[in-house]
Amino acid sequence: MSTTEDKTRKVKLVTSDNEEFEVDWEVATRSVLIKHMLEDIGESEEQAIPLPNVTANVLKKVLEWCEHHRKDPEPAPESSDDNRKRTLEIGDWDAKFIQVDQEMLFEIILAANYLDIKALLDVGCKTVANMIKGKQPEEIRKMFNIVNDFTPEEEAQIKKENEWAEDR
Amino acid sequence: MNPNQVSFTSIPGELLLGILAFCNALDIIHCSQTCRSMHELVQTSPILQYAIELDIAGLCDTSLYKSSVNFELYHEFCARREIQKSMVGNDSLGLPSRTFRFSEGSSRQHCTGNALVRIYGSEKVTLTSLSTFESWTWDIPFNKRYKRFRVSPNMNIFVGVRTPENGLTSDGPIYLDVFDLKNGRQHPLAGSSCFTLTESAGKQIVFAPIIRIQNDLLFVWWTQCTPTNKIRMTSIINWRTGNWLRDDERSRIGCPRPLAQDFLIRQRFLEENSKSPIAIEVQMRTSRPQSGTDYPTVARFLFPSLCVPLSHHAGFFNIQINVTESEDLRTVSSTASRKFISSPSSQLVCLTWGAPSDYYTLVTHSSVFTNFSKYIPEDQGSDGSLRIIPWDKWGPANTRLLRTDCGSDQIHGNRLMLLNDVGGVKEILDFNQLDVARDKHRASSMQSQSDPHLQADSGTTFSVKFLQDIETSLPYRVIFRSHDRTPSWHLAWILREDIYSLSINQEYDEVKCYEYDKVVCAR
Repeated sequence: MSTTEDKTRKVKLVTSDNEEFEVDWEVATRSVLIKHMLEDIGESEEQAIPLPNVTANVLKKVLEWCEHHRKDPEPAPESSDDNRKRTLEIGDWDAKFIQVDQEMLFEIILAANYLDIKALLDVGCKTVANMIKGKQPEEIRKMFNIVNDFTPEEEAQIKKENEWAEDR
Repeated sequence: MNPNQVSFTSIPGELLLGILAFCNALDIIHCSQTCRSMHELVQTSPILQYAIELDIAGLCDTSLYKSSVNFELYHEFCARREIQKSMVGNDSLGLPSRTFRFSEGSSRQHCTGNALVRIYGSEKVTLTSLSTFESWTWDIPFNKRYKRFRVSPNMNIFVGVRTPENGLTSDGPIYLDVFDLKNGRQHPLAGSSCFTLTESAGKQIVFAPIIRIQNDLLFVWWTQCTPTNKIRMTSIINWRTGNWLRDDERSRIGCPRPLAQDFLIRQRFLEENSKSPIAIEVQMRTSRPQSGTDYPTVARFLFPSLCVPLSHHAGFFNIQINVTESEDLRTVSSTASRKFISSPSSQLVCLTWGAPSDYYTLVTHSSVFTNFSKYIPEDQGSDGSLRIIPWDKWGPANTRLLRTDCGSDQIHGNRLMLLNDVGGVKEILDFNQLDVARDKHRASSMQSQSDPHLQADSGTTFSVKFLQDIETSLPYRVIFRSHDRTPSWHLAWILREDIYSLSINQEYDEVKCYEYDKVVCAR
């Protein structure tokens, strides 16, 4: 599929709120979804790709990430132990990039999942995991506005069930 | 707030799983305590349960980091595999042992009573009887999974609770699978209607029931929520006769629930068969809420006429032992007890209190409506015999000091085993013969030689944890963790009376049983 003209080729993307983005082929194909769609429509020119699940402000942010990571090598097949045992470390640029409000963070995760950008999805998930890290249930609820729908009795029961894990 | 706003709870479950896959066990557990949907998500995700298992077992350092999309590691462990069974007569010590070899690991394994249960993803269950060493395998029906399962310690019965995958909003029935471990067949009663718990249709929230096996009886506690009512059901089934009792307690949602519950058990004999107790009546009585930050009381049923409500406060157990003899409810309470262990198949309770594991109070009860006496070990240096203190004279003042090197002790059958700090047996208290078998040296060396990872001179130590979870606790599982964090690891369970210990070596994927009776005979 990849030809020399890919380097210069532009791709048009249309968001759910009908905003059009024109980006380099190399940037857009960070998204596996877009890549496959481009392969599907083939070389036929200038067809805009609709992205009905992504809004403009989120796509802008996602494309910012893709732009920065355009030269990244293709992720290797998950075979080695290194890949399996990744850490919560996030690269400096990514850490700065992901410093957004909670809603945007979740939007990015949803978009990355929809667009199938694995590395970005991981950055998002790791960021949320880092937020959860070391927090008590009540703190997690407060942070994410989770409504506690347990009865006091159930809550205590669940707490008790998990007690053994607390002080190891 | 914008109704379209994306929040944490609106993220699809598969993505939440992806996030939690980057968390360590404790964080996952904390998340599961925030709300129902998270709890359900964590409970029903084999991969998270597996991650928690691995983390707790010390197999991975602090967290099991996985790809958020690719669950390759999980599938590796969950692939369908057949158990290869091979028997080994003796190990190098001449200590009788039986070894199973499994071709590969399963996603969950659990040893309880007379059986080793291995669950392969949500696809297959393999049950290995530790009596006959036979194995049976069956497929879990599509879209159903075992929420809970339990094997009776002395009845050779396996009971699994199957619920639809999305159990929280289930409108279908809950099924109990009952297998007879003697022949591996489904129990004749399993197909009958009384084993289907929810018969009504419509949107209901059904929580996975708590099951418990007590001699001939199967207790099932479960909760069903309709939009207006919360119905708590207690079903008691006698699978020998097919009789069953059912009791519901309806309460409106939103009513304040009692903080502490007291279970009162009464024994009833049905007329047609006066030989064995047919039913045990369980009443839930509301007692005054415990002061301050006490957690609610939970009850642990030990034997037909004895139940032990436990309340937990700041790391201590407040223990109350209630014995019903006819209408007479007697209560003994002990405060500030640190640990509570009991044996699944025999009728023995051990309370540990004082400074870490300084004091033991042992309670036995040989049969229903007979004497209730207490055996309290004498000081060290005495002849080692046990003194019987009458039930009504019992109190903290009667207890004597008994020191152990560490707080890791086990009850096997009618014996309490005090372990030393490398997992060897320091002392064995036998409550059948009222005798203390002191065989420190030999027992300890046997243990360390048979388990090279627990050898004292290798610099390896281990920590032991008793799982205090009432729903999965009997028998307790003891997890040995080695400090050098090598991939080999040990899980040992307290088993039925005559098996000394069982260890699983993940590296070689084999299971070893040491038979307790033979160990004692060897002395």
